[in-house]
Amino acid sequence: MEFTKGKLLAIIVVVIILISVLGFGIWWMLTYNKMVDENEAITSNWAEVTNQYQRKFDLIPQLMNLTDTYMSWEAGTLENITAMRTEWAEALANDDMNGMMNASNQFDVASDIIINAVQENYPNLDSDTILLGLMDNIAGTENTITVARMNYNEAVQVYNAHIKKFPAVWVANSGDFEEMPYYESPNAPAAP
Amino acid sequence: MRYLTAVLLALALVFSAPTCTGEDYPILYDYVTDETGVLYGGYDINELCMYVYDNSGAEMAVLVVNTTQPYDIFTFAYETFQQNGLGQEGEDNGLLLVLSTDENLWRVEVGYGLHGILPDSRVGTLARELLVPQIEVGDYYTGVYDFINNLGGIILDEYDGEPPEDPYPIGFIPLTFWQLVIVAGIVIFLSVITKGRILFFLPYLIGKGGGGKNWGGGKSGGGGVGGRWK
Repeated sequence: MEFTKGKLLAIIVVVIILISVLGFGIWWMLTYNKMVDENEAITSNWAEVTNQYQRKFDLIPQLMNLTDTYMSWEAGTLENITAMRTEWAEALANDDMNGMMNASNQFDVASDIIINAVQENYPNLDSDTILLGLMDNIAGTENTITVARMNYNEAVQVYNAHIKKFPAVWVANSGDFEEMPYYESPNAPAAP
Repeated sequence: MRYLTAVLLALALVFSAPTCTGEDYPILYDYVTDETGVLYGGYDINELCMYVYDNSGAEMAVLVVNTTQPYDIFTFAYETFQQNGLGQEGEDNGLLLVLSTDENLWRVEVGYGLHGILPDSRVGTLARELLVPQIEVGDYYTGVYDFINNLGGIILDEYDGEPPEDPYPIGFIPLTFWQLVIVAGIVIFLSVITKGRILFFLPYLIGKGGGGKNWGGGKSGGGGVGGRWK
């Protein structure tokens, strides 16, 4: 069987088209999977942020209860903390990321005031081992939050840059990959 | 032959380790890295850390610096921990004690894997009982020794782990068996064609090579505790 010149050319064109389609399909699949992985990294980093905030929401009322013999907390301070915690819990239940960010930022401001007040005004701070232990846990939690937020923002940066770049933006638009928000806070400690 | 000698000298310089990583965080060459001399070499503390590693796989390290500036001690300790990779990869069972003598600051960075048995409050209490009183009077060695000894005891009692199999037949050379065979072959080949001149450069390659101790590649989540003395 002999191929004419025209047939041979047609076969070559078909093969090139098939290889191109196959290559495009493989690229599409790999890009899609990478975006899924990047999205999962954001989810796991966010879970660490929420775990640590949950811990801080538990620790601050403990600090207030432990020091209320000597510290005259303003009326409504504990209620405010409780309200922020409720707001956080509702946002967490509704998977409302912006709601959680707002609640946690407000809580950071309130808890900073409480912690500074204890550090500056509590008379037995240096000799009260239970209180010092609690302060260690709070400081450790805040540091862990700083790192968790930094890791979250780094994961968001990688993902957001990827879904906006050409030609990956085609995959992002077809696969419901939306831009994720950064966790920004004016009062957050500087990320390492 | 002169060209070859020049190439070997250049190689030796390339292999010479810098004293700091890219962002000026120290490389930890051993369990104890004392840039100030207050621990007098810290050999016993090094032995303690080695014993803890051999029996649990957890990697404890001590770093004493004059200052952590331009970084605060948290950032400095966290980044030093991360960049050196204390603890086993996946286990994250590392611990780093940093003392900054100019600022009178201490910090203990605890990896995720040890955070369960060494929560911040427990480490902080031990530091205030054992470490701070000694370093306040200038006895750094006793303070660090007692503190590390106590932390090591807790790890040995309460942490269930063991060191990974050492992939390197010669402990202080981070090369696997086949990498060693290849390097040995190259050295023999170069020895023959340079009539033994390569041997002059071996101390550079072995003594200064690498990027510090071969730590396990663990991470810290930012957990730990710190404070000030005096």
